[in-house]
Amino acid sequence: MNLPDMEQIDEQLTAYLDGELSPAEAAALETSLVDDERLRIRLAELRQAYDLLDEVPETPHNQRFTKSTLELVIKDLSVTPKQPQSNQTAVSPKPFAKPTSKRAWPTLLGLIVVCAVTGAVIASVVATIETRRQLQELGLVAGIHGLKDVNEVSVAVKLSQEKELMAVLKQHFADKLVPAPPDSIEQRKSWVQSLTQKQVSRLDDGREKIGKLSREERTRLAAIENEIELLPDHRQIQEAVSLIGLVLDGIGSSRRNEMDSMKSEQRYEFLREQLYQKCAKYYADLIPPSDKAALEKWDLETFRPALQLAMLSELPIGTEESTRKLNTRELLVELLFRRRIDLIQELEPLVNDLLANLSPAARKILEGVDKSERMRVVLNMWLYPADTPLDAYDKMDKDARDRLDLSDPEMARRRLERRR
Amino acid sequence: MLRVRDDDAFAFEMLIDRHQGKIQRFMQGWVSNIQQSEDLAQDVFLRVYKARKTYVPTAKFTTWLYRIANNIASNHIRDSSHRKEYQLSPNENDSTSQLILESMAVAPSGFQPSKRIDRMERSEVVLLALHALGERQRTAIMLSKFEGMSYQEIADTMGLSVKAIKSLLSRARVNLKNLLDPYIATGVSPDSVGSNAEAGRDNEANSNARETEE
Repeated sequence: MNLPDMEQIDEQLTAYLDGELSPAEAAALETSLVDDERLRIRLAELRQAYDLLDEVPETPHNQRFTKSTLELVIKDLSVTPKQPQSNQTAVSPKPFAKPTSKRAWPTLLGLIVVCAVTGAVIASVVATIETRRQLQELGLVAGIHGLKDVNEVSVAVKLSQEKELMAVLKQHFADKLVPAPPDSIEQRKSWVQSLTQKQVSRLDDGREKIGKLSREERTRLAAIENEIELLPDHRQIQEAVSLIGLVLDGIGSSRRNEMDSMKSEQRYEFLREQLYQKCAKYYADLIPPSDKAALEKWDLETFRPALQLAMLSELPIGTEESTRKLNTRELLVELLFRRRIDLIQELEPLVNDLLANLSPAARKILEGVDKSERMRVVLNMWLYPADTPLDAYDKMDKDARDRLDLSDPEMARRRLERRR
Repeated sequence: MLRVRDDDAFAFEMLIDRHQGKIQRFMQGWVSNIQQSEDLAQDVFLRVYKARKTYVPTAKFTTWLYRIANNIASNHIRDSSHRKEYQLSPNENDSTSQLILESMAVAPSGFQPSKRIDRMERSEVVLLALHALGERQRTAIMLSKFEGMSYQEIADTMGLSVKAIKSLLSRARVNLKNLLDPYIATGVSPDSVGSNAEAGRDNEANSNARETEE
């Protein structure tokens, strides 16, 4: 494979990992991934290094930073001669001085202002939305992200009826979800005050988003929101719309924009698929002990023996004993390295045995995801999450790894190169 | 931001509160000193306030914010006196931290660079690798990873085409992988990280012309 080819492949893999491929391109790549082990390993490597960036945390919120920045701005305003503001972004940044005691008055002025505003964030939100029109618009503001996604009342209503799905999403987004505002305009003032800072931020995002809409688009979305508010279960639908917005914020915007050309039914199917996919992922962090136990029991008593049987058909005679010692993770890695993922796919009907023992929520999620995805959800998300093939390989015990290395000299060579 | 533009002081405080953590982390991708990253982040908010009247809500606010942040970080690196002090080649477009990696790689035998890395936190190793990327690759990958921006949004922020961003991010991932490979495999390997830094930078230098064309 020459260098330009490799660059193109890397570009495709990167775009795939970033969710920037069209469904057709992603499906084509996934087909290649099944057949091409080197491609799978390359994908895993690119993901692994990128995932390490998660080690760099967001700097924790610091009130001192806010205060000193406000002081800096006030100081700057008091010492800088007024300039035409349109040119300011093009000017190179100059090192700025911290406020000093020699300039006590602007610092003092800054402190007074800071004291006046500190701790009053929520009060300020209330103060700025006190006009009746703004209060009336809160439903639109709270739901704007998802409203654009559902685009039609009927789509919102149908999706809101997926109770188990919405319950899991609600649990996952408990801190960010803005509840449906009260019907009474008078009650809305105190409703805003009861919101957390994250919810207030979400509202503010909504207001900003509305500010960027064209007049026609704003009117159209407001009409959808008004229509929802007239429905008997409007609070449940509004909440579902907000949840849809939160979930869709997590997918690539090019993918999200694909919906622009979709008709009602197609849009509903697309959203439902996205929601269940994400829900399956979120559920990995919420799995109750009873589901965990059911999953482990199914793995031990149903899936693993079937996998071992499938594996034995692949291995030379005389390896039965050592194969029976392998756990599911090791068996999966071995099958992956032997390019026999198809054997795992053939075991897909076994998921039906698991369904009966799961909670209604977990069962509904597995029924909601595409059938071809069920095994991946159970194995990669719920039973053995966060394991790339290389991670799993590293976690194998020495005997199992040695056997795999011997069976696949290319892998062993790669491993030696890494150590070197 | 629209309220900030209309001189709403409360809104400006909220804006600082909401974005300070992310902007500081963005700056940590450029400078290794925490105080410096905080100063640069403050400079971003100062610039936002000064330029508030020029804000037009046609683009996403974060696109505008990170365009400012990127300019400030980039100018800081260029103006930095450290650059003159340690610069190896006047034509190369790199940062001080790359030089730290390089100096570790070529350290005299009495100085044990591997032990130095050994003591580092994982996040520090990752930041070093990030610093070793070229400016454009670093910006693109931080906007993608930390801000969750789409290719289109990154393109808008950096003033490049979506095609260029696709290519830039791909090379950034590959370079990051090459830089971190030794660490992933063994937990320590400063020599490889140091020498790979060179490769990462060269890769970007060679590709800048292509991106400009795109």
